[in-house]
Amino acid sequence: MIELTNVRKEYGETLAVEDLSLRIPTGTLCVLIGPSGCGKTTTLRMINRLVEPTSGSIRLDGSPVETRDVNELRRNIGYVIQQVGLFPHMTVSQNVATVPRLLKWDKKSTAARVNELLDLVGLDPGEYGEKYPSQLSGGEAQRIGVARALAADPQIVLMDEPFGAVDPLTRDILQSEFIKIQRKLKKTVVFVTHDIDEAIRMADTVVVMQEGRIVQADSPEDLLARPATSFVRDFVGADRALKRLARFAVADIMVPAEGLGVDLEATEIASEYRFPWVVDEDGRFVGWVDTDAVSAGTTVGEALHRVVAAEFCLREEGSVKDALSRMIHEGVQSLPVADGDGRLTGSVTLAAIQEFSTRGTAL
Amino acid sequence: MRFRRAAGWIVTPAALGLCLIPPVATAFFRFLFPDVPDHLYTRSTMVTLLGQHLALVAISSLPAVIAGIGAGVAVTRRGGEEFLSLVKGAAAIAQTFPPAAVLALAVPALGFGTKPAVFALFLFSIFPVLENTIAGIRSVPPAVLDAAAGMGMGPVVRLLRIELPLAFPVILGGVRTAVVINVGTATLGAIVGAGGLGVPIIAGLVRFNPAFVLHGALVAALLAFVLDRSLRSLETRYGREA
Ligand SMILES: Nc1ncnc2c1ncn2[C@@H]1O[C@H](COP(=O)(O)OP(=O)(O)OP(=O)(O)O)[C@@H](O)[C@H]1O
Ligand SMILES: [Mg+2]
Repeated sequence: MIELTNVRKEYGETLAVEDLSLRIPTGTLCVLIGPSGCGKTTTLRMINRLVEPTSGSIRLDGSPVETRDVNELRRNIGYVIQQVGLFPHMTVSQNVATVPRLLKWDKKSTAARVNELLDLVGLDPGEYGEKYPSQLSGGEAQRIGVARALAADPQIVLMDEPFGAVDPLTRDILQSEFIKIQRKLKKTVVFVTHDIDEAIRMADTVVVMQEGRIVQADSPEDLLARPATSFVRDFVGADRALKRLARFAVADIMVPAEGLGVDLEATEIASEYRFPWVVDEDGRFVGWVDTDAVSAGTTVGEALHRVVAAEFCLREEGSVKDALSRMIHEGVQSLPVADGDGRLTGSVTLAAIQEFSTRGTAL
Repeated sequence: MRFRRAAGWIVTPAALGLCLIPPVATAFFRFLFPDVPDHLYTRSTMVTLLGQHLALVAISSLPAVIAGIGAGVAVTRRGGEEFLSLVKGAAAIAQTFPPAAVLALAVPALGFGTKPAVFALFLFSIFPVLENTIAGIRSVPPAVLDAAAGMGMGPVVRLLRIELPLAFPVILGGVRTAVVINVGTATLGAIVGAGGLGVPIIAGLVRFNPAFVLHGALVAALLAFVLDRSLRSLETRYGREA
């Protein structure tokens, strides 16, 4: 648990952070976001004492940071910055081994740990271990930056716009990889960003700052549903309803659905729907039947519209936003949901998405 | 390229070696200056003079390197910035003094011999080392230092593991400049009786013997070239690694 209580930081005349109070529960990821100069970096750097607050207190699991030896404190807090700051004269392995070396781990456990971390961030230790930072791409360098911060298994990790300097595609990959890592390791993370989409994607709690103060601290869903001020509303963007839908999975709103097993030679079909979904004997999604065509005299087989289940069906772990986008694109009111084998597991309707969206906002 | 490298590593040291062999040197200068009566300075051997010269350079450069790096480190520490312009100014002034004048002024205080020569050479070597130490340390990216501090490296660890290794190639460049300048300047040491390669040059001047002058100058120039080469290769080797 990180607790900031009435923290204030002045730089001469400039008030960088004003009376800021925040609790970040253990194992959660807290994103600090806000316009340039609002005090995000200052807040972050007060936690590992790279900046000393003018007043107020910062406690980690109840113990005030200023009572701890500053280097001992920092060795127990991971630190990742936008410019990465890898040591150019050291190999990737040596960079990752920085904190274990400061903590005087023995060689063997350090080497084992370095390999473990390179694997964790998706880089082959054999290929990358002996490279120098100048030989890495921006994305690779930042993976090493993350590995280096996690080397001594700190409970707290501070990240200042860690993915701010890489191209959008790489950023997307780094984000999803870090989400995976975070799910596994459950660190207490303070994450600074400028990017609202990144914030919404990564955060357990989003803290929106303005001129050194917190204007709203909420879960991404609640922040998008109910921005506290017009500043926050503008900041999260006009498409906040869509952004919010991106936070939910198809599994959250789908309802069970059954497919019709059909006889392709039959010349009549009983269904309450105009276009009933058809599954094969294993329950795998096959397509749909135009019941009007069957009534007009064709066989079910001729009226069957076959599709590739993996392409057509939604996946339970897909986002509601993507489901909505698919519906608009296909011009349909509902879409089937299938599992990895293409077996029909449920359906999502446009009405359900609308209902879900307005219910969340009104809550 | 290959030829130039060969020139650096074989031709120059070979030429230096040949200059030190009395019959070879005598033959060479007889060919150049057929009318001069003596072709070889014989009061001391060229090897002895080269040894004295190297000793002068080494004894003066070593403390200068230590002082230059020390001062450079000190003024780049937190709180040391105030002294930065002061130290740089002092070193620059020392640098602009004519070496001969420094020698002349040092003699009353230190007497004749190696002492005033070493003192003057020491003064002249500090500046390039200091200048490059400051430049090298300043060239360390702020993000690198921020990361180092953020991971729990104290100021001393940061200096030893990050700043000095990263500044090393640049500092070595300063040392090289200092040494090369010193090899040339040390020939003036002969004026105050410090020995070295300046001895035959002065003897040649006094006795109107261009062979002596050229011999001393040639050995000094070749020595400077060889030292420059060696230090430069050290720099690039280290620089490539980093
Ligand atoms: N070392 C410093 N000396 C003086 N003023 C500073 C210093 N660091 C930050 N400030 C000021 O404090 C305020 C907050 O800065 P901070 O770096 O925390 O902002 P930020 O939210 O991280 O901005 P950005 O998104 O641009 O990184 C700014 O007005 C900044 O100019
Ligand atoms: Mg910042």
